[in-house]
Amino acid sequence: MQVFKLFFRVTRAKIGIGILYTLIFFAICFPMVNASEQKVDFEDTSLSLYVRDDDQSEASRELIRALGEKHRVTEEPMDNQKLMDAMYYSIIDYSLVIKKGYAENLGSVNSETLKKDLLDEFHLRDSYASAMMGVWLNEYIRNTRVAVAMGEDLMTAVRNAAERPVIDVEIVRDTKDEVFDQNFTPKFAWFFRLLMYIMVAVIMSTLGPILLSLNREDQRKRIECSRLKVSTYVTQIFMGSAVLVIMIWFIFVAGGAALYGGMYTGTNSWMAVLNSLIFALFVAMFTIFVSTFRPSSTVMSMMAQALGLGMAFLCGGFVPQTMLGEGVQKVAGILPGFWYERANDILCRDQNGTMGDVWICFAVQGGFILLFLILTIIMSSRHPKLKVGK
Amino acid sequence: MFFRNIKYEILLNIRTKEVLIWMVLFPVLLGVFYKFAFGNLGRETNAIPVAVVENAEDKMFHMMYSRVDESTGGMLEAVFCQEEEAYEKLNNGDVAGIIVIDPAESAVAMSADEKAVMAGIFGDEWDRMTDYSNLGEMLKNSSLSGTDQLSLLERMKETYVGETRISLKIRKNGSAQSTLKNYIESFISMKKMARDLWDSAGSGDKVSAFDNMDDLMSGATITSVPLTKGNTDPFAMYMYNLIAMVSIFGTLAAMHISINSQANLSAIGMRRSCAGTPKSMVVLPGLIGTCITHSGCVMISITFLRFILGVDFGDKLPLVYLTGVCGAVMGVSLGFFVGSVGRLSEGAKTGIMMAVNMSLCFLSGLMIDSVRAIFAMKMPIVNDLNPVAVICDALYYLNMDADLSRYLWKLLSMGIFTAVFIVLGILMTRRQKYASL
Repeated sequence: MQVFKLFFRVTRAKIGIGILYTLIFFAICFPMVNASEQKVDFEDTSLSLYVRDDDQSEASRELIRALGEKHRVTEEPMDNQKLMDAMYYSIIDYSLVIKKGYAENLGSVNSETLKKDLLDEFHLRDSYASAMMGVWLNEYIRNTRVAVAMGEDLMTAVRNAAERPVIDVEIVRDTKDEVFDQNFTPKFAWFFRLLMYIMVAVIMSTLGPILLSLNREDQRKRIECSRLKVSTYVTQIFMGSAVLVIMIWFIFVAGGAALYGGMYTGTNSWMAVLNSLIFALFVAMFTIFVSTFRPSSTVMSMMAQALGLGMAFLCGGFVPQTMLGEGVQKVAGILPGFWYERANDILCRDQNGTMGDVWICFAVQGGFILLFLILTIIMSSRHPKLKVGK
Repeated sequence: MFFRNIKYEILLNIRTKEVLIWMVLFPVLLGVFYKFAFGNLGRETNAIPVAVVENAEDKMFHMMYSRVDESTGGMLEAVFCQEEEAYEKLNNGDVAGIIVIDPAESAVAMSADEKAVMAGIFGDEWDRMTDYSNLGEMLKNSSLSGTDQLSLLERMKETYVGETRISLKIRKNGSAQSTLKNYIESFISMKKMARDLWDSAGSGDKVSAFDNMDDLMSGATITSVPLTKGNTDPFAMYMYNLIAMVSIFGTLAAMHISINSQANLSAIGMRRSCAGTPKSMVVLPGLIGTCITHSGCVMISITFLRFILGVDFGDKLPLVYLTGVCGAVMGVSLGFFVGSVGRLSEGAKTGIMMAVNMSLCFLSGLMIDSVRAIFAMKMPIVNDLNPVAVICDALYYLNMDADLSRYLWKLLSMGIFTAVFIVLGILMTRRQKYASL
């Protein structure tokens, strides 16, 4: 087991960057996962609204009160730049100006006043929020005008205008749905979603330099002229890599459990854990494969970032896969990260699929591991430096 | 010698292929990934796909649907289908929800005879009318009594605004689903309003009640006031982050300057420490040369994003290039400072800097843009102190603001960061003495 021991002696010297990545990841993950929303039953979207009341009438106050019943309303004065920033960063979803003369024009229904603009909106870009508010405000004004036309006084009309029919909204599930499990929520799925990038970064930045050190020319020559068989050497390297990667994976899974609030519960959570283990093994296999080319540490670092970021962007590591275009998803299908994220998304119900689909995702990742194992063996056997006697 | 050293530094940087690939190829690749992955972000106004199951016919739903379609540029993309097909579409994620229209408990189906009478008076298209202005004339021409006319109009009301039970089936929460719910509520409310208006009208005004329905549908006119003339696409923020990332990667290109001038860190440092050349003649040309090559890399990236990927950076493109160059200089100065701290090898420092750079990029929203918003809202100081976020802010202000005041502040911040890093780097590397070399 000399090579195995040597592997971990080198690990001790190279583990620093891995620890740094891990600490940063958890420091980022904890607030992010806790900040994300978790909804199981239907909840109407509540928006952040900015309202400027230029009319300052009883009717306009009533409109603001009605808006505040469902949404978060802020009336704190803002200049256009501050408002623009708030809307760009989605801190404010919709901004409304109640124009001067609002109450007067609303209270007298005739062909003249019906044409008058009562409200302004500050517009940044089209969104569901502006569409939703447009529908609501239209209905509110319409209800008020009809009530006034039917003889009600303005204040009674505006008080009743926000009353809406209650409709039956049902969240339906497929009767054949075996994946439904509330223990693995989209909120917690963020952790496993981000884990893809971080596992690539940590494993390649930790395992890569270790393998490069062991593959150094002088180091290799010493090993090659020893009595150690190439197969024994390769087996021990594989074992060392597997143990190291499983240790790294375990740290992440344990950290995830802390974030989860205790031991994972439910099939889906454990399936997600298994998914992460398979992906970790793929990254390890890929790193071993790359190290057979003996690139410099800078190139290894570069590949870690290119592969990690590239896969995360294309495969849905930073946004759910459903937000990616169809073409992107087709292209991403050739990357193992796509299948890792797909399994996660199915398990947290961000996309449709059955347990059978999840197992297919595992199998595809397994296929990638096998492919790189074969390629590594081929490369190792063809690499002139690895041949005994050279 | 000063200028010759600059020349050699530039040649050295150009010949370091790994670094050049890192600075040029990586951002280009990432830009392409961004374009493919996030090109659809922020295009929320696409019509909401919805399946409609009509177990009872609802004329007003069709009228309302076409109206919303016209006024909002296609808010709903409705597919009328059978229940089974609708659920299949929902399960496949093809639609955001299913609108189910069931008959009201009180609904009475119209007999064939009644339909024939309606068709005889109002024409074959009586149940697909959009213009009700001739209703009165049509009734006058008929030989029906006043009571029968009223009864016919009552049937007409039931046909167009009769009560139905509408429910919504969804698979998950979301803005599209909430908007859909709002839409249905608004529709039900409008129908109730039409019925109320009909009921409240005197028997002689029933005909005009139909005519008024059209006016009812127009609600508030909301004037839209644009906040900026710049590019408001949220996707642009990812591109600002990309430029900021390339700029800050100057750290990787510049670390060798301080490492190669310290005898305890490199063999070149030993040789330089023994030589009679003043350190300033080595360090300053190194910094200037690296700034030139790195600025070139950043400018290539900006050119690629603007002219190949077609990213809209607003109408002040020369200032975008200036921001990129200032960011590159700041990145180089940060690398010079980090290179001069501690006794770690260049490889270890590169690894650490990579982790730190990527974390700064993450905090600035390179991976998830909402991260930046969270800090902007809760701890704006983080964005002010993060060099990557400072570059992003500068590009954002340049695109969105009508004036340059906020942009110039950010440019000044970059200048301050650069000065601080260079001064600290020089303090760390100057007048070092070694017991032996």
